[in-house]
Amino acid sequence: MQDFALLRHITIGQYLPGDSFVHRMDPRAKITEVLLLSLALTVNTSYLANILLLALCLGLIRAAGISLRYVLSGVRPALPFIIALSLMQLAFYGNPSVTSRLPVITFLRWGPIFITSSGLQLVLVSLARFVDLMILASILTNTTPLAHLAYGLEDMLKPFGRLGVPAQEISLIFILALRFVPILAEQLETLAKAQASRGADIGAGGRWRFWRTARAMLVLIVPLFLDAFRRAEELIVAMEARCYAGGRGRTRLVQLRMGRADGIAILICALLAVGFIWFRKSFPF
Amino acid sequence: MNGTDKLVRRVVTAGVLAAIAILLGATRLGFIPVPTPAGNATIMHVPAILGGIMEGPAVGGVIGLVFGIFSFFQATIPMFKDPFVAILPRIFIGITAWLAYVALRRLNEYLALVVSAAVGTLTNTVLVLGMAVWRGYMAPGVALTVGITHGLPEIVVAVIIVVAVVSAWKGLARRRHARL
Amino acid sequence: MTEPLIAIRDLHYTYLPGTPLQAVALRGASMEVYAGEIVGLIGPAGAGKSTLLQHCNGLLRPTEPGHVIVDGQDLADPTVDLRRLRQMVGIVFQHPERQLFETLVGDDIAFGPRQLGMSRAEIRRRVEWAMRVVGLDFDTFVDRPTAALSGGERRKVAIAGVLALRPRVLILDEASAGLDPLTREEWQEQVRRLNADEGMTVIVVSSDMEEIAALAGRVYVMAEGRMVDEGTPAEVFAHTDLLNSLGLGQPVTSWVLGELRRRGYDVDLYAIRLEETVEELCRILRS
Repeated sequence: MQDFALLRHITIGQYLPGDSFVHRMDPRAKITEVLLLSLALTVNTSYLANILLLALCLGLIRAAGISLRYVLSGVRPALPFIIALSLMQLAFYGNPSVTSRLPVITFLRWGPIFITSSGLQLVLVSLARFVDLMILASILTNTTPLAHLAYGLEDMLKPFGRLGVPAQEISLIFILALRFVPILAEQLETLAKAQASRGADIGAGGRWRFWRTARAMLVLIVPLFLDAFRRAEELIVAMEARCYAGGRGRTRLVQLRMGRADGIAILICALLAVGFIWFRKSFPF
Repeated sequence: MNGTDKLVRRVVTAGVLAAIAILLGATRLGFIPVPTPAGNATIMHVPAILGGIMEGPAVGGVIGLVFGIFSFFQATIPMFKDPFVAILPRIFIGITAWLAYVALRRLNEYLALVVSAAVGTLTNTVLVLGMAVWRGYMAPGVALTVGITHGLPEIVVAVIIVVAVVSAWKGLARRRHARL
Repeated sequence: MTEPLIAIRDLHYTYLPGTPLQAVALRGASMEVYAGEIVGLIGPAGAGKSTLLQHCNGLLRPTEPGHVIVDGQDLADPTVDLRRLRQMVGIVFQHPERQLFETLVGDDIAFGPRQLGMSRAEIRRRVEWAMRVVGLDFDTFVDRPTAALSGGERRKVAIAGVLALRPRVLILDEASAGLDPLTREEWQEQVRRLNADEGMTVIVVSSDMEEIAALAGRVYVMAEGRMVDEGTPAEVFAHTDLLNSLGLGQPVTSWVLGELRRRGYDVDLYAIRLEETVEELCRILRS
């Protein structure tokens, strides 16, 4: 039952207050930069590119004042799984396409086992890329309050509004979702207690048999959805009563402002990203 | 006022169902232990299916997007730290579920619900694993095995939930009488 | 002197201990409930009422000093049969209609008994009885979809779902919140009948002081995790200053009597039943 008491307090988006230049950067700039760097990351498979990108990311997280250990702390439980998966990848996937001017060496070929130097490269590059993405994700969620990210996204998508992309509506959906999570979590806690009081098999640890668990889950999941629908109906009426008519022409209390530093940062990032993407095949190793 | 009525409904439904998707991901409620070495089947994609069925492909798509973004940020394994694997495929869950639903609902409401839940889940499994293979995280053979061991129970569970929720909400009773 | 059916002694409880979200809910609360009583529990929000009562059916277990003894069994014992306990002590939570999950009314009410593995015949008997108690006609409602019910009807279904377990102790945690006055009176009558005819022991938590005065034989007042007052409703509601300091109201009758007493009239502060208060007023007016 204690896990359900925890539910009430789940926070999504662990914002860590701070005063680094990363914290102060406009959310739109941060989103753009993370997107650019992610793109550069995903297309680069050479060792050199990934070493440089890793160094860049480590520098960024340092500048943001967040410890690398915190960023990677969530990985610990999954570590055995990651290692196992990497080993499997190394053992069986000897033929990936990676960028390298070095000759391809086959270490071992025996039956289905096929270990090559390019396989090794892919595994190592994937791991580096993983750490980089963890860092980039952290830069977004740990240095920016989630609501500001949603506003940033809204502003960024607004120009696409003319092409039919409902930017403000999507942003509102994000904000609504964030707002409802704790409400529904509290409801879930009460539900768990009420159903357990009726004899449902909740929080009972015990024998995890598939059908029993699925049935037991229905008792929680179905009323949760129904409750969500009911709250939605109330909110719909409330919004209509306040004459909500979509995002066109709506203004916002929190206005985001970009400064010169933001502009320069985006420019640098863009140049780096373009450089990495353009020259991705030209790295020597 | 007609256009805006639908708009408000869609925005709010999307928000609320996206919230459930996040909640399922943040608690162990979203994971069902499966008696196979693969571990857990998830139901985090079910809100996207429900959104697609109830309010259309746009709503289903956005819920899938939120699901994808959340799972991307929450991921601690390399495969899911890749936006192509975590985010992009998820957008299609609600869309394919909607397609299946509208195609079949005139035939039989139940059939439509069952098939659309199955299709939505399949979309999730196939596209995510497909992306994983294409991006080099998994060998095709492994992906196939995982797809079957995870995918089949996920389909079963998704169908059960979708049918139960929509039946209770709309008052559709397959049995005319309570099982007494 | 009989043993109480439920005895809570010096109970302490902390939510999420050892985490930054830690919150002390109970600081040495004690309560005794005897078989066949209706006991009221009042207190400001956050006093710990729900926390206290959730120990009675094993939802929360005593982890710190303090004892919870139900029907002679100490609930700190890890071998307690929770299923049997929850059949014996049933809790109706606030807005119970939110727990409905089945499409048809009868199925939802039958959930509890089904979980306990009763025979089909017994389950049907229980459902019929429970529906009768809450005032839902069996034939009309048993096969009706829950989606087609009004809010009040759905609440009745939810309460029937708990009653179907035939608990010896029924805990009502703000179960009548949000009901209109007429339905509330009907509900109170049903509770009285359950207590009188079926011998159900009842613990009522309510912020409606009239309801407490009407139902309870004894009342506990709780604040900040422990009991601060106890007695018959007449006694407890006469302690105006304490109630005011806790932000709790009084039944109108108690308040009137209190005001009269403050203005120097010699009224019986304990005459809080409507007829008694009227008599006191008449007495004053006549003299």
